[in-house]
Amino acid sequence: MSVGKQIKCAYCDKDKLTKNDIGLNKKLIHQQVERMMCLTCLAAYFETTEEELNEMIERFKQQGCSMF
Amino acid sequence: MIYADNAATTKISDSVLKKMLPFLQEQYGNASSHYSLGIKAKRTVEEARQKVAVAIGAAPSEILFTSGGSEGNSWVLSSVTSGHVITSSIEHHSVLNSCRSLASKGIDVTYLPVDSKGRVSLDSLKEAIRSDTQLVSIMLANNEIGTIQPIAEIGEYLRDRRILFHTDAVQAVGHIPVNVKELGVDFLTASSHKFNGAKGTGILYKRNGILLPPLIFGGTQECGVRAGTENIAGIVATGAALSESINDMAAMVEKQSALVQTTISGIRDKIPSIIVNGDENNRLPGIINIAFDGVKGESLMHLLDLKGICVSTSSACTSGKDEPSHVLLALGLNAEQAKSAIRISYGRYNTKREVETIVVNICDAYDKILAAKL
Repeated sequence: MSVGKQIKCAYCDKDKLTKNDIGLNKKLIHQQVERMMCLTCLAAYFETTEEELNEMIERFKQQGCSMF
Repeated sequence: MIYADNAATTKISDSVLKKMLPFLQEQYGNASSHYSLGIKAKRTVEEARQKVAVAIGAAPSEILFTSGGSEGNSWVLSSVTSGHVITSSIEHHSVLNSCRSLASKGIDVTYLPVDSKGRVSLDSLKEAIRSDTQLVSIMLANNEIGTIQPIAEIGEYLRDRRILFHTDAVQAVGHIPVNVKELGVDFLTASSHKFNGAKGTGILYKRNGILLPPLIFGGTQECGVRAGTENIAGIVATGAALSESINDMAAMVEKQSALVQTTISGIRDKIPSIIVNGDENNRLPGIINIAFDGVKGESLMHLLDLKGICVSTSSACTSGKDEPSHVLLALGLNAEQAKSAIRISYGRYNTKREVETIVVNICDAYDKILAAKL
């Protein structure tokens, strides 16, 4: 994955995954994950809600994680 | 919520909470005061000291109350002013960082290796001892993998060699039988919140006749070596929780061992490639550390968190860089294997039904991560 390249959701084709989306894919799946999901698809895949994932992202930010 | 991280901390037991609460309001006297409210507080501290002493086979005069395990460990290690110290490579950071501090002051430190199960060998200790060795500090049981060290064997060897012996027993006290005389230690540290007591209170056993420089100067509390108004409620909780743990120990060991076996067999049925780290035959009853092929422990931990299940990983990253556990690396795991591990630690309140839920959710999360990676 090159810097500046726009990444699409591999499941719903949504354009331009955000830094947070990408960070969460790396956190919940793997650092080297190739096929990334948008937040909506991630929530559906892991049977949770987008709200919970957003809360998780905020916690990572508060911890100083540079992936978010 | 299912709490399966009892090696990190535990919930205060109901009966312990009931015993400590009066000392936060009605009986808030200072144990140094000479009127009845203070005298009663002082008596309460001494009763707790007696309970702790009985629980670990010590005399009450050998028990000092501290703020926790890290304080006790730092206190003992920092008392070394010259020569050589021996510890192991899998100690808690409160010991390892104390050793680094000693090294910065010119004191030599030897870090003993461990075998693939996390055991220190007496032979490697014998080889490391020098004529100027002042202190040996080896933990009784490891906090990440639960492996129990041969402390009594080491204590017996050191007994006539004029080398002080300290054991960090934070993870063991209240969970397995601990007797300072049988272990042959000069110092032992423990922490109340690891056995359903209160956070902010710890125990330091110091064998009578051994000198330890004061940690805090001031009044005469704790034999004048740790001044400051006592944390009466925490101390009450410590005595009560330790007595309760000792009374229930046999039943708890049996229950937690069964929960651990259910967990391992349940996960292994679905994921045969798991590796159980540590010594399966000689570890704390409630702790298991499992490595998963091809999946990060941190990912599993976060996905379980989304399901309301608390387990831990020692490789969690907070800065974008995840460092593997020093304990797992010392066992011989490579960085990827070490990062794939989670620790599940059961305690007084876990049930078989909770364990079944944990197993289902771990297997589900593992499958989902692998499928998403493809």
